Amino acid sequence: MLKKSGILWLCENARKLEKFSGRWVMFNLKEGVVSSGESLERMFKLVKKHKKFRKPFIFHVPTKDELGGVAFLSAHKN
Amino acid sequence: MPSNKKFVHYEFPYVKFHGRSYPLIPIRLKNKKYSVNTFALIDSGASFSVFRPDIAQALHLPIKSINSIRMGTPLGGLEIAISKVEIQVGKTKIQTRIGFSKNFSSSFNILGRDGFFRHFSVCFNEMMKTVIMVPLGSFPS
Repeated sequence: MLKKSGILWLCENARKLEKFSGRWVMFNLKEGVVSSGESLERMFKLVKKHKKFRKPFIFHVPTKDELGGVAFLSAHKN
Repeated sequence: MPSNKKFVHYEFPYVKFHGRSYPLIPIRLKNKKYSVNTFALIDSGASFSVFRPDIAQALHLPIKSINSIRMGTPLGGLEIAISKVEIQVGKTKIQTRIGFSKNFSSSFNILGRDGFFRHFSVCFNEMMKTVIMVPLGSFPS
């Protein structure tokens, strides 16, 4: 199930991705990180031109501060 | 007589960031012809699924909607626009509702109980640092 999957790539490369903290990264299993930036929209426009980068994984790398408290969310209807 | 139905399950390792491990899983979100491959945190403490606003933009979904709910967080209330999407985990596809908020920009996308946990049996193994998920439709009868 996990052979060459996105989650394994993320596990193996999480440490390297920490340098992108607070930014979006776009990667595929073959090339690794193909783009990074603050605007996901702009990144999609850039990779759209490269057909081989179709269907990449996108991931917002959290900063150390953001991970201080992962959210607890409880819903109440409006 | 044993069922011939194939027992499907998924096992994902936790991902370590800044020294801590998190149960993130790979998912594909789809809205009509738009789709994104991303990751989300399985969060049994969250009553609803909430994703970063940029994802809504990529899927051409509104982050403001008449169909909205208000959620409580330790940092205050959050207005969340609800949208219908298809979520794919492995080969399992479910139609469900998730929320987007332009004010929600902390840490990870979150998969909460309502709309997600009812489709899977979820087992966190803190010892092995893995999350095991069984699509509820795949249990042998």
